Amino acid sequence: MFPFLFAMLDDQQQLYADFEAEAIPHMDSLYNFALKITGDSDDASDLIQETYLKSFRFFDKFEKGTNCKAWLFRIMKNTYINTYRKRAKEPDKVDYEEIENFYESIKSSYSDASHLEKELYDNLLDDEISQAISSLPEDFRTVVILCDIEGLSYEEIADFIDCPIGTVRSRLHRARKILFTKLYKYASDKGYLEK
Amino acid sequence: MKNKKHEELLTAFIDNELKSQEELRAFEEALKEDPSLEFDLKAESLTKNILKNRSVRDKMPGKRKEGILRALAAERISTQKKFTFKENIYNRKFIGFSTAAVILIAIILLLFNRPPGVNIGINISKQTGENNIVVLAANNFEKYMAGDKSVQFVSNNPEEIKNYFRTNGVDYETYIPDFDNYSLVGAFVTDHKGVKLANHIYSSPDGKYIYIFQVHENYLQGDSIVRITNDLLNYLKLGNDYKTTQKEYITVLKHKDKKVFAMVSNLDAEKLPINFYK
Repeated sequence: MFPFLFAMLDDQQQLYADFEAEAIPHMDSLYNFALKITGDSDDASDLIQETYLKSFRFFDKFEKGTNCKAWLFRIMKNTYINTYRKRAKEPDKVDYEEIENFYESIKSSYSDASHLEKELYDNLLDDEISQAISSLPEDFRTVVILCDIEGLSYEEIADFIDCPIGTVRSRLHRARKILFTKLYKYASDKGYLEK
Repeated sequence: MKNKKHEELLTAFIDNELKSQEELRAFEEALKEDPSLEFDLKAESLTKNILKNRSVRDKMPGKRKEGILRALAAERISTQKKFTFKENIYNRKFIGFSTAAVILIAIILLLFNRPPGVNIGINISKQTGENNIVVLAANNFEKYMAGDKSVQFVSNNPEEIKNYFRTNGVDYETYIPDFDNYSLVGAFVTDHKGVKLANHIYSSPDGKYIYIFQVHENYLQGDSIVRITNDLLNYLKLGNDYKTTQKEYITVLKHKDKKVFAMVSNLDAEKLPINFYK
């Protein structure tokens, strides 16, 4: 019986070592997303703790060689929906038609967007960018963070939000258009734009 | 730019997610046809670039990170204490053979030495096969807990959930009980050989979950969509409940109003509110 017990403890140690190597390095990424979704650092930390305990309990179900980060995000999503979503404050709704009109007016006043790159990219403050992301409706905020900040593929995002890839594309497009107009407006109000 | 197709192609192009040559050609054509797309391309690429490189990445506070690592270490110790007999013994070829032999001899001795008249209920408890209601319910619950399955509809309103089932192909009347100290999380519909079946979940603030899979008995009889042994169905129809424990979950089956309810939970057996049908 003793060899069996020792072998079992070896397995447990190996499982924990694998978990440490595969899952722990993504903690900051998950926290970054959790904070942007919950809007509260305590809620975000609690959410991460719950997510990691749950993922450790089910780590033997994780398919080695697949994207551990995407797997952790899926576990976090379920935990978030169950416990934290009701508490989170939803930002104001966005009038997308108004955004489109504003975007078209920016577009018609520029023959070339090249110099906008320098003016927006270099001058915007970190807080202004964070504020613009936080003001997005949750569906848009989720896809844009997962794609542009966390680098998940469309397939992984589609899996995360339980929607077809077409929905990921269209939400991303809209989210970026809303963000572009918001960032442009900040830059314009603060006098960052030469025009 | 108002062409929705062009918009989506442009977004996928920026993210290097145009998977087919056809889509790539369609996007190149669109660029030729509409020069204003150049502006859209630059504006959206710039936005992505700002998000990717300029947005502040919040790091987990050191103390909280340490706390999580400590909690994981504690979890690891407690996991080591409760080993799962089946998974660990049978997966080892050499140990597995001798252990299995000892267990087999023990079972034979027990069977031949049991007192006369003891009913071991082997027919009722034989619920196996991937379409079996007990196995389906336990698998769904486990996938949900592992994050491989999630609710398709989030609501804590029983009427909204019933309506969700109705409008998403579930063709029988569903029952959504109310449990003290548990709130409804939401629902999902599963497809079994083209038949839509109702699943919903509750949670408590202390991390306990109750999952209910309900199937109309029309889908349990004859050439059934979901399987259940006749012995067990008859046993349930007499008003009995059937309980079984798999891994760390408990499953309870009930029959009421021509439906069988499979309730799975990570609660302790004695705390599971099984008398839910009012």
